[in-house]
Amino acid sequence: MTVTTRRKDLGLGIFGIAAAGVILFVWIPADISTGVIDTWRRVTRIGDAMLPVFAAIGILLSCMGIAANAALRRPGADWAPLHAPMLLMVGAVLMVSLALMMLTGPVLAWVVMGPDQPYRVLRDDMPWKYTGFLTGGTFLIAALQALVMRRLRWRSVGVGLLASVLIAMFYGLPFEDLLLPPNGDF
Amino acid sequence: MDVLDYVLAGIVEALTGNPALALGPLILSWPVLMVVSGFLTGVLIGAVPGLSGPFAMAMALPILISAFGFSSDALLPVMGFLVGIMKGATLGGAVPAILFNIPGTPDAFMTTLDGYPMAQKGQSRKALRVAQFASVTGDSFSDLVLFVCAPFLAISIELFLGLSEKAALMILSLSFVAVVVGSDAFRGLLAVSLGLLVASVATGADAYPRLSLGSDVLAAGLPTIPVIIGLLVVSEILAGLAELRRDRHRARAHAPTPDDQSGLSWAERRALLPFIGVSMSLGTLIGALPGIGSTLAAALGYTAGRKMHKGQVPFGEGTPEGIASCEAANSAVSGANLIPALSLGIPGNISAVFLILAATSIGGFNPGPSVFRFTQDQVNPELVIAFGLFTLMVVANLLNWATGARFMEMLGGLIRVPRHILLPIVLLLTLTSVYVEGGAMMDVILLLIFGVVGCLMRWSGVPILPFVIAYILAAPLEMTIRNAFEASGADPWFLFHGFFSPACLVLAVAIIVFSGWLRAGRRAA
Repeated sequence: MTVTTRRKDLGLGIFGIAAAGVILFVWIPADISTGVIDTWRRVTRIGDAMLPVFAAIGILLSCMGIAANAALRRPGADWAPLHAPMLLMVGAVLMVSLALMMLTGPVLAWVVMGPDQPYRVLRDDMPWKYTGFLTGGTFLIAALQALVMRRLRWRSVGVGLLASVLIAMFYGLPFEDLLLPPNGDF
Repeated sequence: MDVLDYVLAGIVEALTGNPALALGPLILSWPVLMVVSGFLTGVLIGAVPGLSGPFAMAMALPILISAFGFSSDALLPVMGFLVGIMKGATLGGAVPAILFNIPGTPDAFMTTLDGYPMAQKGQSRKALRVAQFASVTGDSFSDLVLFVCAPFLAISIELFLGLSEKAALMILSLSFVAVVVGSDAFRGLLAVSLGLLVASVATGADAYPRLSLGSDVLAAGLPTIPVIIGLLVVSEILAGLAELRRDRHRARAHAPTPDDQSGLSWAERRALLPFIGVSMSLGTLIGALPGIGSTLAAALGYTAGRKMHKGQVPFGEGTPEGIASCEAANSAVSGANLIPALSLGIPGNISAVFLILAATSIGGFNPGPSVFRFTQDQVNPELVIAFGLFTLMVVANLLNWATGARFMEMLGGLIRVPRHILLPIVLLLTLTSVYVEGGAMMDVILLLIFGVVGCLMRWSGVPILPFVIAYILAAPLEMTIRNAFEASGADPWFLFHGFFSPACLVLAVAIIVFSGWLRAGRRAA
């Protein structure tokens, strides 16, 4: 067991013990109205706190086991690479994509049709129902490919647009009642 | 209705109920159409490196529910499609393993050891035929065991186990899954506990949605499909993208060597049967235990085959027996995995998770012992659905026997789509599937949040499958415990009466404690 793995295991164990303590002594008492056993009008039954209490005790015991193994230098599971910068970049791409999906349709409708025409009325009409999905979808696919390959190519944008169109057709053509993102939110 | 009536009703429901096309007396039902489509999709998806059956099931389930709705007529088409994917993906995973030395699915890794050397010798067609023959034989055997054992097990449980015994059995199953999945029992227990905790949010018997933190979003309850697909699929995509960025210069697969077009004779098939027999028995045994995946089955089958083998070409240098041993074992897992799912309601693997998810989302079929009640005076519709599902599994197997080999051979050119193109498209498809099923962007946000949770679990070595199984089992477990407590007259020791229930609980604790310490001690030594 390497020093780094041992420290990580210890950290995981201590974090889990602390989290279990917060869940058991703060969250559950504050956010559940019945205890583990509840008596109401002389009827005794299992309360809503039973399952979360057992879950929290499970977290506590497992993290004590992980921490004890680390303290005794007994190896646990291997830690995988986290790739934190990549995950943060992917998170940013996803946020921008969802924002594009949500905003493109309403903004375009506002610009073209004016402020009197709400997007909700247009959300199931061509071309409005596809604008947000195609913009956000194309961006998502192209940007993720660019992140992986470390360069943006027009081919990626083309692949993104083509895939988004195919996915939109896949849902839009056979199923008339289905609403593509973001139209169900309007 | 007697047993035979139920079996016949199930067959009729699967083959002729809910017709999609009717040409005179010939009827093509939606369930049959969907199982065929699912099988072909599964072979295709399984053949694409980086994708797997659960990916396809995750993408398909929301679409299927949106398309077929929530009536009981939707159950067989939706579950038929998922069963088709499950079977097809196992078969398809062998194609890139043999042709390009790239396992299409994790359990096809052992297939590369002999499959690729055979392809390099110009025997790829023969290798594919061996894989298909072993896979479909193992799968069919495993399904037969399922058809016999699931009703028998369910009836036994209904007859002999009360509510407290059923609760104790569920606790033992969770404990077992925690221990066998992953490499650290304490992390497995942590995953199970987290699954139970997340499942507690906004559920319960009281009017106030527990653990909702006063949030309107949480008070509505966490939607099951985004949570599970986020953990299983989105986390896999995110991890795959990160890995690709690191290894973007990884060498591409070589083009396959020209083939001598040799087939597989009946004599060669007969010679493979002892290897297939041993491996499929091992695979079925392992598949019946919840949480143990087909990868272990393939490894054990391969090891057993190597010990039996006395041929000229040793294992690992391109012998058909090597391919047959691992393909029969990993395919035999799929049917047997449904034994705990259908008879106990305990999902044994990811495919079973999606089948149970489909059943509970649509309604009208609750996998568990009550499904196999052979009621005489009135029809048990769940039992008809169960036999309908068995019929669809037979249809998928027949399709596999008839067309599997040819379909595998056709896929060689389709499987070289680079993963950096594939994964973002699959991510968009997953987001869209989840959105159209729920109709709200909040579902997509939850999907991504649980994708990140899945990434963190992978990073810290906490296995995801026990989390998912505990999340699915939490509601039935809590309900069974509540009912058992009330039935006992509020006896605080209600779980410790008799022999079976305390034995299960003692075993549940013992396997966690001893396996945790024994494993750590063995690794330290």
